[in-house]
Amino acid sequence: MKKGLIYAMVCLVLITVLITGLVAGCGTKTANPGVRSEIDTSTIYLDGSDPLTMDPALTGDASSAFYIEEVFGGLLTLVLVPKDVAKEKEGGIRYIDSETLMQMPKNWQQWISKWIVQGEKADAKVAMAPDLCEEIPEPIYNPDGTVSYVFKIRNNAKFHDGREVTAYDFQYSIDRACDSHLRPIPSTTAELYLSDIIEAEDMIRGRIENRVYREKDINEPFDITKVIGDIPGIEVLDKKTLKITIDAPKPYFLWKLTYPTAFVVDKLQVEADIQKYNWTRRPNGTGPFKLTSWERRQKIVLERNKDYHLGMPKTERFIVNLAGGGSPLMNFEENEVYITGIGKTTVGKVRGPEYSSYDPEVYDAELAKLYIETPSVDVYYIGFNSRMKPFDDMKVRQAFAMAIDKEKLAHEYLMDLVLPAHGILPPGVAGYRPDFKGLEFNPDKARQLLKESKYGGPEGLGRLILHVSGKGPSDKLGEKLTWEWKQNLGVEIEIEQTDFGTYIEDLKKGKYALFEMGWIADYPDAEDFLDLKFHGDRSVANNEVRYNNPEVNKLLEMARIESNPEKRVQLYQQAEKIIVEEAPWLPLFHGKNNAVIKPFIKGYYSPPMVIPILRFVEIVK
Amino acid sequence: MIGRLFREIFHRRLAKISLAMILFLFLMAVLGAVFAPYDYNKQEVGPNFQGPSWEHLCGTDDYGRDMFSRILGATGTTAMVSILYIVFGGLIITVLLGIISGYYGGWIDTLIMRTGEILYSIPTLYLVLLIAATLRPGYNNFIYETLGWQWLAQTGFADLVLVFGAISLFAWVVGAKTLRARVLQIRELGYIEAAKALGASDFRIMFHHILPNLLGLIILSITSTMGFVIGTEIALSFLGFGIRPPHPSFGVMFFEMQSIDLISAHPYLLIFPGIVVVLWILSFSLLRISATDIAESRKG
Repeated sequence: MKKGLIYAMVCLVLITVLITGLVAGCGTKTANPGVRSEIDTSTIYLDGSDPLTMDPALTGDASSAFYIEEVFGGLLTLVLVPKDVAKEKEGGIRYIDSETLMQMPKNWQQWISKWIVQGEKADAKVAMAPDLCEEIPEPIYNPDGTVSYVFKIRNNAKFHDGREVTAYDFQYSIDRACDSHLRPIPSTTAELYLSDIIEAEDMIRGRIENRVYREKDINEPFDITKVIGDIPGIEVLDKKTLKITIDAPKPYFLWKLTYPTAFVVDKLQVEADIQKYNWTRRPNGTGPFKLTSWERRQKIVLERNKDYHLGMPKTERFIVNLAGGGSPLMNFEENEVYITGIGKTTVGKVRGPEYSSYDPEVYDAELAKLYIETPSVDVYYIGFNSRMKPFDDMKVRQAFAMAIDKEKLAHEYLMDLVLPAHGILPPGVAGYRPDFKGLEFNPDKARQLLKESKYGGPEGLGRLILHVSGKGPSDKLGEKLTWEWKQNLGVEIEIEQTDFGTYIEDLKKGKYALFEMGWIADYPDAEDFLDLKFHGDRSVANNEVRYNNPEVNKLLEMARIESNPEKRVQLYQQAEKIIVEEAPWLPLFHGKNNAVIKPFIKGYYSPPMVIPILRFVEIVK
Repeated sequence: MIGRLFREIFHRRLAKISLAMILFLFLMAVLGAVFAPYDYNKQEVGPNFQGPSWEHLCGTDDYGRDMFSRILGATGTTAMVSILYIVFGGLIITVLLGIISGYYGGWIDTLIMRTGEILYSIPTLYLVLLIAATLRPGYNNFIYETLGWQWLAQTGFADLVLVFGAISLFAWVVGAKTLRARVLQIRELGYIEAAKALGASDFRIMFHHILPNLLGLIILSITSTMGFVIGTEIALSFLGFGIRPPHPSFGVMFFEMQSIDLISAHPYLLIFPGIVVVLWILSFSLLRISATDIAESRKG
């Protein structure tokens, strides 16, 4: 018996080695990526994550916006078009008209094949396009300095259930988004995208009482045409005509209507379910797809809306796998998903051995052919809450910012999957300066700054926690950063991970002093980055670092009403310079979309920001 | 008494092997703290993802940290958790509760044993997880704000105390029950009666006359829970409720390496720490088997 045990012990060790070896062996075995005969052309499988909300009024994150933009629609939308197709409006707004929009499904495949070949130099531009309205309206300058836009709603615009979309629906939806008593929670994004509308801000901040949500109305049968608008800036001229008036000439305002907060929801559905708030599980939207099934942490099924007013989507169904787990690349090779992202651990397979320290034979020439890298208009940053210790001292923030070598981080650690960010504005936004330096990496200066700060050095800083979203004890990027801070500043920092939903909630309450976050463009304008995140009047939900500099506020306010696009960009660049130097953010890098796409998938192009494109995607065997 | 126990241990090959393994692991932990080739947390000591070589015996991970030093560091953490548990959880809590419960009987016995049974009826890992997760914010606050002992947290000792504390709260039940049963037998023996008649205090009887008779059982009870204790620490750390980086733990290491893409390209990242964890749990399991043998042979 004793001998048997010793043998058992030896065997156990051997088995451990064998199993790990086996797992390892299976992983490297590459299934032949390519067309399989059993591919069903009616369904496309993707991987993704759960949206935090399916209520357009509450959307604030890119993962929710991805689904919302496919299921809902607004007056205006964003499209990706070649540079020469887009026209320009006053204020430098790039747009396309209805006719070009209707031609898009025909031209799309041709455009993107060109962009894919050209890579980052592609002339793909984000432009504005009419969605539920007939054409993008021209501004009407009123004598009192306000500006009005009159939207004609398309005659064929319908909700998924067939009901006609009217101007009343828009009035209701925007009123609802601005409601400070909105259930279950008031929108934190309405102040960002709707507050230019006359008196909308008063409503968002609860200064005007809202009349739409009177308790006694809930059980009464509802007549959509009898809504009393609460925001004077939104007027229904007739059933199909909506007039929106904003407080000053702000050309960028139209961009804001492309964001989900301004999207239309079905009042009948929302009001009927106002207490239980279950309507977001099967929302009645106006978008190209219907959300027919949403099993949390399992899958989302999007079925096409055959009556979509911009043309029927090409593929019947998209199934998004939310479960995660396993290896995305293995799922891809086994045809469980048709498009998947490439990360740090897998980039060597598609880009070759010089991009990782993997063995050369890990490079997979077949897979590399399916690899596409496209730009993304975003910035990842570390936020320092400027009202919390120890980051209330600018020198501490600057010291932290100067102690990170971003070039090395982007190039060596993240293997060129990203671009180092020295400023806040990313490439793709007017105002981006490739030669902008910001706070450069300088550990000596950083240490000195920390010493000069009112905390006197690393010992005086107290307990520091880097908050990141995710699950588990460690975070890859966080571990790299905390180590650099320890190495270069002598500061000991803990990492705390929180589940994404809770993380966002805590962040919006301003609970974190030091955190990791990203911001992806909602529309291609510097205002979307600088004004939304750094103006001192923004609530803590948006200006999470609680940055408030009167000089920056003034520059941002001047830029809002500056009609000359070049001057406007200069104002933003001035503001950006001050912000970067005062370091409420430490911009780390600008992301890229790195993905492998099955050869039979046609019409897919990872957009640089959240833009609905699924209606162009199809399987061609 | 103890001499006899050791003689018995050294007569059993299995016991010798397991003790040698445990000794080896503890030596590794102690020597690792002193002689580790690199700081376990130092990044970029070598290229990222380098396979095992003479310079880096167990290779390097994706931050260019030396895996051998990391394994030594994690072994140190496991050793600390086991020592803390043996001393506080095993020797103090289990023994105290077992003897008191058996010796006094009555309502004290009922209280301790029923509490234990209730705890035992709930899966222990969940309870430990719950305690570690819910107490952590308050506990950290206490250490930083009330006590102001930053050093305690920065050395990672605060995390260790939380982990072993949460485990000790629940791991005593089986041990205490076994001891209590034996105490019930012993307290009826003649020499205890005699000691009582001579006017010895309860304390003296419990710890002077009864305790020595329990040594084999105590070793048995400690060794039989050690595997669980070590495994729980690793599980807690894996889930993010135990030891946290920058302090080393096998749980954290496994968490960092849970991507299949990573493991398939660099299996050594999992194999080396895996072997050490197997050794830890296996050595205590083997010791338990021999302790059971010894305890049973004594009965006869």
